[in-house]
Amino acid sequence: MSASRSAINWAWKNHVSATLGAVLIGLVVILAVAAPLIAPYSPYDLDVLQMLQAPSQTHWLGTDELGRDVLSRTIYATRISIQVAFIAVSVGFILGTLIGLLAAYFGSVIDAVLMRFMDLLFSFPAILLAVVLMASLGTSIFNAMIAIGIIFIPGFARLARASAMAVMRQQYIEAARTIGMGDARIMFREVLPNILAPSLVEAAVAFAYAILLESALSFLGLGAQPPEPSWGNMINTGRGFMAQAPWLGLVPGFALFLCLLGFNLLGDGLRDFFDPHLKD
Amino acid sequence: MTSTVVKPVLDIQHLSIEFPGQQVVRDVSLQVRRNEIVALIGESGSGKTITALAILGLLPQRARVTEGRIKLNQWPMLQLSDRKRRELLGDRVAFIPQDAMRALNPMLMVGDQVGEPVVLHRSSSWEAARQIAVALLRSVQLKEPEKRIADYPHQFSGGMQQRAMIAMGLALEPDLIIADEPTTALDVTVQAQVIHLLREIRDRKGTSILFITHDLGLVGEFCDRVYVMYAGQVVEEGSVDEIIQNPCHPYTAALMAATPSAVEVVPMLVSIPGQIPSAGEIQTGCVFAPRCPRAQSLCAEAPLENEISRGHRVRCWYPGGLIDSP
Repeated sequence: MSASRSAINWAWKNHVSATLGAVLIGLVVILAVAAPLIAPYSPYDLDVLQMLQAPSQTHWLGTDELGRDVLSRTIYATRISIQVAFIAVSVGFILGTLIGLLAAYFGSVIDAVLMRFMDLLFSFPAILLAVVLMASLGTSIFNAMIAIGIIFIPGFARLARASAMAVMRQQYIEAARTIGMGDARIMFREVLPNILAPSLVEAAVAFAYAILLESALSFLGLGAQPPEPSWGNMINTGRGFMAQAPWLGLVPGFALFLCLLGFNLLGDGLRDFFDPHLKD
Repeated sequence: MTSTVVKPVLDIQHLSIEFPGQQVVRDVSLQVRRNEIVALIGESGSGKTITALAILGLLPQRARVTEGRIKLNQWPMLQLSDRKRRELLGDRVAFIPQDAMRALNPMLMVGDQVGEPVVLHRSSSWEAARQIAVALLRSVQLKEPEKRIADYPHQFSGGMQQRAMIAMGLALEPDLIIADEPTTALDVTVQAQVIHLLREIRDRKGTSILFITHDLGLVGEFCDRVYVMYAGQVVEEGSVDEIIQNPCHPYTAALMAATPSAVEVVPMLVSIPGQIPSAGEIQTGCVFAPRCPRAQSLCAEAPLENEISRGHRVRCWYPGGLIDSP
């Protein structure tokens, strides 16, 4: 529809930082999708004669302790990170928003029960909760996605509940009842669009945090399992070679940094984009 | 009561509503006939909006209907299941709120909101609903409705928003429109346009309108019959001409006197001494007695309804006007 197209034009023109964020994320996504085409070597190929090589013409970003190409491994690691972050944030966003919406809409007992459960989840430090969940679910990259997603649920739930409570007091909700709308329709058609903006901004930030958490879990050996490359386990390995071969940790670290920067910039831009009052 | 042969579109009999510990509506009977514009006039807090919400079954949770019945055509609104009642709302009865800006969802396009009742009650597609919305918006004299349906509410002026709300109310050609002070938030010139629009809708479609207002000036030029509410009671009812020329209840008379006229220059604005009793105060006798210039000892007892002339009833021991004076 023409209205949404002009809104997108507006966002592109007026938001350099959001655009930069989108470009960075675009690059990351391209890297993840086209990794086999872009990466100069296989991320798994060992070459003992080429261990811990400094960046050179043959290996642009050097090699690791097993002679694997760091550039290739960093590119392949993007896949894991994006995949984990996307699934984890989706789990947290969808379940959290749904719980918050239900709590705010029905109030009283439902609200109390749901939100006390959220408080319970929230009371654990994120990384500890992830480790506990991973320990009980078993170590695999899929379980890491679920564990990180569960960590995000209470944050999204609280955000959605707070916004929904404010929206519930608005007259257009009452007006929706006067034309005979039922609970479900009011919740999803009238309330939901009005509470999404802050949650979507939060999602962009959570995306960055999910990548960080996945790296942390991999760093602890609970996420991606060797030889599967992930930024986290690469940084972990690189830590041991900081003096002899700093590129081992710095390259995936810098990739992680750029990716987080992209999502944070995009999050800022989204906040403005979703406010219809700023559209013209 | 009334000896009309035709059944009224809306028939409220002896409605009483109470909040915990306080009665906000007592013994209200009110009829709206087909093709009729009926005003329900009163100060804020007189119970007029609560009465309207009771018709729709949308009373606040704390409120309770203690007595009475409400019939919309053949449907007993107070006895209907939630589901059946929801089917009627927006279809057979529409509600036009006071503040259109706040009654429109800021995140949804106006066209979709205007067409929503059609989708909701007729399971129409959104595409078809948008076409209907264009026609509806044109019928309320909105310019370039084809372009405007893709606008968001904040891109509309106050008058346009109220037109959109009216268009939404008209979507399924309801039997009754309840308009709760639809012009209060508008400029005077826009006010007149909206009033004319409502009147034209009545003339064209035969829709009945229950017009809730505190503005006596609007009532005179716009309505057929009037109910005057005070402290949860109907104190006087009658045709507009009767009420304006011969207000019999002292409250109605005072209300008329207190309405500033643009034509006459008055040295000082008239006000009614005292305050409307808060709903919690226990009342015996006439509710208006504490502020009434005609109050006598008899007023400590609740007055019965007096029929002044056909259809003109007043709840007062000493009705003024042409009949007699105390």
